[in-house]
Amino acid sequence: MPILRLALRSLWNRRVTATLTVAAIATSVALLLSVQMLRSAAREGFTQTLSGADLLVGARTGPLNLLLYSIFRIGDATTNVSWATYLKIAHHRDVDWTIPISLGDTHRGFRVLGTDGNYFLHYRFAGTQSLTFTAGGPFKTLYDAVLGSDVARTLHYRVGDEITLSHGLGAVSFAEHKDKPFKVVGILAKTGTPVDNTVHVSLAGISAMHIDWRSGIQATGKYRISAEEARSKDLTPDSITAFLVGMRSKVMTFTMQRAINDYREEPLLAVLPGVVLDQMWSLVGIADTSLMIVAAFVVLAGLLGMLTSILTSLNERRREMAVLRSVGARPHHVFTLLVTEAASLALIGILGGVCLTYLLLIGGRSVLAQKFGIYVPITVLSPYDVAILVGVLAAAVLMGFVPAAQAYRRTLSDGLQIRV
Amino acid sequence: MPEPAIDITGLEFAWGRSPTLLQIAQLRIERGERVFLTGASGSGKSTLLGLIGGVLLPRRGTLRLMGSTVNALRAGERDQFRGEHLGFIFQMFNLIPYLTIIENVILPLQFSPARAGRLGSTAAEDEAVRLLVALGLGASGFLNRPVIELSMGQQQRVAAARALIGRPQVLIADEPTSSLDADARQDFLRLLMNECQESGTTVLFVSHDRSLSSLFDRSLALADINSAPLAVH
Repeated sequence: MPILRLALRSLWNRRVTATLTVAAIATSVALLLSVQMLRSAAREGFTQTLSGADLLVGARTGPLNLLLYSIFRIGDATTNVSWATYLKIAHHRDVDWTIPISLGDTHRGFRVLGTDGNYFLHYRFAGTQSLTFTAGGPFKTLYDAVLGSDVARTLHYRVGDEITLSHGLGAVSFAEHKDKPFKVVGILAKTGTPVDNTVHVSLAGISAMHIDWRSGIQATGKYRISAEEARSKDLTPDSITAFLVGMRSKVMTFTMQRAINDYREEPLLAVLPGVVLDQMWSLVGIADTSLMIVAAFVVLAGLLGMLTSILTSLNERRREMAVLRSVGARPHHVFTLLVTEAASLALIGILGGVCLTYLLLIGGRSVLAQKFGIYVPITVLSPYDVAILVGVLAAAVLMGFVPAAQAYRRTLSDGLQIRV
Repeated sequence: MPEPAIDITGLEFAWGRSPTLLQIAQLRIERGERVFLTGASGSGKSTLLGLIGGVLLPRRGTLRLMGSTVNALRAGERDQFRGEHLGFIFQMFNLIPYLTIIENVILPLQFSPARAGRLGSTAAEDEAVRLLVALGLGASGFLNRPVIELSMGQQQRVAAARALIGRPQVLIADEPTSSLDADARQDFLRLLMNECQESGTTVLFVSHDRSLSSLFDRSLALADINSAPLAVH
């Protein structure tokens, strides 16, 4: 087929413009592909904010509400789960482990979460990743605190620093637990989940802070209990905000969920975290769809640039078409020649865009993980990605029909006349 | 006696509904004959060449080339026929700028397997070089130059080599020398005529420069054979 060779030689002859056109297409395709990969990674990251737990249990409320206040620390629980109920479920024979979650205090705008050692052992995010420490380790004694990475970074804390927690949820609180300061013993690595914005202390630590508080006010005078005195008191909590459950066998999850939801002693709600996270993504995922639309328009702009460059070249190529006709080329050869040029430009652009995307991915992947907690896996293109690229190519070929049709018409009217 | 190279009978042509532009009762050019055709611009020369080339169709009459009635063929067959039997040289801009000299010369062979087949065992590139040398483009290193760097005279010689490769029966030259100076013109014509004589090619040479007519077997004025009422005289 001499036409393909002619098309490539013609492009090579115009290699400066052709290179620019290819670069524009490659950049736009790389943008589209990166957005697509980031959005699936972000979705993955979001829906796996909490990936290890089979059930999330709290006082009866809406599933989204439970997820928002217990995992995303948005809003507040109106009711708690009693400690007795927690223990009963935690000791059930089908339950492998539980992670208690006790919320209600803050430190300079960051939420304080009371929990136990299971948190560092069983909490999973983004698939199978467990929590790791960049400094120090889990809390051991009563007044130890473990900081999420953003807390440490924003407030410039290091292991060994002393911090004071505040009662209630305001960024500026007037009721501080000044008498019972905590010591930073560990700082967690970035996860890209709400864990990064959380100050973790033990359940006993939460109890100790509130041991001399009644109805939101700290006792005064002789009723006040010092930090040291608190150590000897019974620090078992009365209630917790919510808890996570890991089952011994996944198949028992639904039975347990039903049992908890039907629990007669106390109104409870158990949800499958993944299901609720998916529901939530459909609410917050609109932003990434619009980003995708923007990227698609950038690709369109790249293709329009190609169309412009081919259309501009058409006038000076009019005599070339007459010469081709004189040696026996048919009008459809001229049509094919121009469509082939458009398709070749787009194909090279798309391949360049794919290479560029992987280069960006390899280069930017650690930054994405560290700064944004988005873990982008380096994999082959998904069928969806390939479908997008085929779509871009098809669009380019369709656009190539415009100059091709114009050249075809001119070829028929010019015949063998060389028009200057 | 073989069929004539070009045999036109009762031919009429008009663009759309406009008045008849070309009306030729009889035009016969024998094989191997070299004919000089003159005509003022706008007299229908290009139209006649378009008809012979098969990109235009007459309203009436028949146009036979080497015994085939071209105007009865389908569009694709006419394109194929042109590629196989005719060679064209235009006034200027004959070459495809992004191809090398050799690639320009062998271009017709890529669109016509029959024409390529006439080379027999000779490689296309070798035949191209032979023609270029015969047309006076033998200087060493010449073939590697980009076509856009060639002088007008050199471009026309490359175009002539392309028109003649694969031995088409008819060479149609449309003012091929009008962009050349007097010396180059004589030189070019002499070499072109030699090559056509050797290969027995029929030549239809169109020009308004009557001083060239002495090199041809026969000279015709389009105005004399065109009886259309509105024809330019």
